[in-house]
Amino acid sequence: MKVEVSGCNTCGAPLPLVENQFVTECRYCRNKYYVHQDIPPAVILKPQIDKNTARDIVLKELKDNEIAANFFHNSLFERAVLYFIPFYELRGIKAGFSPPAPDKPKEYNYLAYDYLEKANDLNDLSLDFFESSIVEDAILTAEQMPFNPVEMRKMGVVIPPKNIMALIKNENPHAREAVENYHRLIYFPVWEISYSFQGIVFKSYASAIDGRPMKIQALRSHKKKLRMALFGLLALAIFLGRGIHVGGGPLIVTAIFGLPVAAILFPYFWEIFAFQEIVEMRGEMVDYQTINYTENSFIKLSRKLVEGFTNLLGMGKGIKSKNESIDQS
Amino acid sequence: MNQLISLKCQNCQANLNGENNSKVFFCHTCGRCFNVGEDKLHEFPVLYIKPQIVKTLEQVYFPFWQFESLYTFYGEGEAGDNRNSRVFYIPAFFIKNINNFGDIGFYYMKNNTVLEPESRRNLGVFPADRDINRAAQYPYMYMCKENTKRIKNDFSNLTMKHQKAAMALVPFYKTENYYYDSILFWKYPSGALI
Repeated sequence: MKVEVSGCNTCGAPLPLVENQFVTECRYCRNKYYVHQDIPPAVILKPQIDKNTARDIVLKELKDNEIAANFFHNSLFERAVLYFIPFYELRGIKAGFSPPAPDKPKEYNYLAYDYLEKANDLNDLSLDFFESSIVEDAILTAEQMPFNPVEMRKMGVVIPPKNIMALIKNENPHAREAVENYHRLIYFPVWEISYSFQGIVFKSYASAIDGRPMKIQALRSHKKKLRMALFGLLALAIFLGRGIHVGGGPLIVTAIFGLPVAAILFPYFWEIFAFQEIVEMRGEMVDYQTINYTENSFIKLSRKLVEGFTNLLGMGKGIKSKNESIDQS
Repeated sequence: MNQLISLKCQNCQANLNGENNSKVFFCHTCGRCFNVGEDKLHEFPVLYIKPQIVKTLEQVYFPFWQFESLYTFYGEGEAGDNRNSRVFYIPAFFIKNINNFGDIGFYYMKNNTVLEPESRRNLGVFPADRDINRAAQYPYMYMCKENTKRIKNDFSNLTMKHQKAAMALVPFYKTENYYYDSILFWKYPSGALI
């Protein structure tokens, strides 16, 4: 964020001119000035959810079936940070005759267009998961505050815009004439809630406008993992059994025929489902990531069994290399 | 970034009110309106519109540019001197999803609005970021929309000239999440009006 210092035209006091802030006030004589700039003005969506409410919303999500049962009770709340995430908004009006169609009469009309684009890729902050619909909904309902970097820094962390501003997208081959267009920088507030479990810090994010959880990070349920691995084994056994058990038949019989082959491939299923431990829920999407963590006896025993089994069959190279990374922790 | 324009009322020297993204600023002391130009402020008269639907809800003024314009249609079937005068109302703010929420300015043009002699200056004014240069394109668009069949594809048979411009303040009703206008009583989510 660039800041230049000019002088107040009335009292001569130093007048800080902040980027994206078009209206500024002299702190000494209270005179107001409009500052011409070639960059878009900025607004803030006012946070409506406080720290405690955001924490409660996130903790409530930790009771989900996908998450280990003891995670909610044994995790410790670490801290809550409010981030202001920058977005560029491009909006305007296009007008003209509608594209020619054989059955439709000539029609002159105008339509508003509206695009949102991230002003910072946010990879460093693991905040690269934004769905633009969440921000669009928030813009419609949230109260908008004038841009004030000093006040924003008192509330939380302001992420500066990095990317070059978006250009008008050509979404229509019969592009109508753009009558006017505006650019605006919008700061969207997000709560980051951190909590630790068995020495690992997990981070979850919730919108500070309507409290909608955006990303929930936790340890995955062991029961769920086992169930999914067994289900995968059974499905594979039935699939393979159909080829071996010629002539078809009941599913159980088919499964029995396919079971030996499926048992050989089972370690790979276990690899897919069991050793991927962090569960991340973003809206309706569930994603899994492998992490290094302190193993409990159940996981340790399961891993040893799978390792032994795969080594016995001489097919555990891929698995072993990942387990090494776990041991290093 | 160094060009500064002092936001002081040219009549009473009070500080003008407006948001960071506003292009139009109001003096709450003497009730005047100023548009930010390239290097100075331009003053425009302020008119107050009488509400046609009266409700006991919190009110706030919404700014509309008012143009009195002369327009002429040329071509076949447009015989004689057909110059006409008309009043247009253009929102001085942006309406998001105009196709869903409706363009209020186009329907105000068809509606007979009545001016209110006594203003209630204690009401706040919604910030206005559409300056007069941008708003001046809209009367032409409104005429094209209203007279689609008469307009040629190259728009060559319609000419328009603005004679007067003013700022018309229309009272809107404010609820927790919505604004309702007092002329048509249309409903807008608070974030849809910028």
